[in-house]
Amino acid sequence: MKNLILGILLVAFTIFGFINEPVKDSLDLVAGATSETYQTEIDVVAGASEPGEGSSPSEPSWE
Amino acid sequence: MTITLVGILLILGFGFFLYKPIRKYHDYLYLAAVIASIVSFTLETTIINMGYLGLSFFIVVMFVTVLEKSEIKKRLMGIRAELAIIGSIFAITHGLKFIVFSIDFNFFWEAPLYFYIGIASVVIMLPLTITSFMMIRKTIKGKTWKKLHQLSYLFYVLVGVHLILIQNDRLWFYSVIFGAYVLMKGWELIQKSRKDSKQIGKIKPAV
Repeated sequence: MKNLILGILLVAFTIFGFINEPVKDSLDLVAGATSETYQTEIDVVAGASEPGEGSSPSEPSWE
Repeated sequence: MTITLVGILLILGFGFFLYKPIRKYHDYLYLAAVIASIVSFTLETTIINMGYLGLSFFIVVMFVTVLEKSEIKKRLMGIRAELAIIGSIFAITHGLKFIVFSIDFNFFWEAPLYFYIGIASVVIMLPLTITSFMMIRKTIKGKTWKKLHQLSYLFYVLVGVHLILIQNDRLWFYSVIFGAYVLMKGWELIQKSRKDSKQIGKIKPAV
């Protein structure tokens, strides 16, 4: 019974995971890049910008 | 979540079909895990230094004990120590990477609670890992070893709390995984105590 429940949980999670988390993000992480799905939350504490929230480029200086 | 789950599926597959070579060549596997960890430590983000692979190993190590008697349980129990040691090597890499990261970015003393809980879990894991090596295990009395390894439950709790407190999109996944483990372990303990009380009832008084 327990084995069956765990098996069902594993299959359900895997299907749900593949539906909800873009496969591209998982492959990106394997390749060494973070994404919105796999960002390091501690980056925020360290003061690093989150994906899509990078600092905007500064205005060109004419001086 | 997908990374952790794919990791679990691969570990289950390799563990089930290759349990004999895993036992036989475990030293080479440890060496490969150490080399992969060192490489991972020098890189920015990998599935090892982010902790996903270590987690996959520990989820398998945790749940093997609550499985019912079956071929998969038999095979995985036979390589549980090996899986735990490899998982520990990856978990240590994850811990060290984030400690170095916190020192580099000057937030070691101002980090969120889950960071310190993560460190505590690695600290608790160290004696468990060291005493999982057969050559060291042989030097320790069985009872002492068993008592020491009761700490693994504290380790699981700390890992669970560490993951839940991060509060990312996978919060529900971690909650279900660790909740399911608590329920299944509880179920197992209840069954065991029922069995024990039945056996006590069967024993006739000596006088």
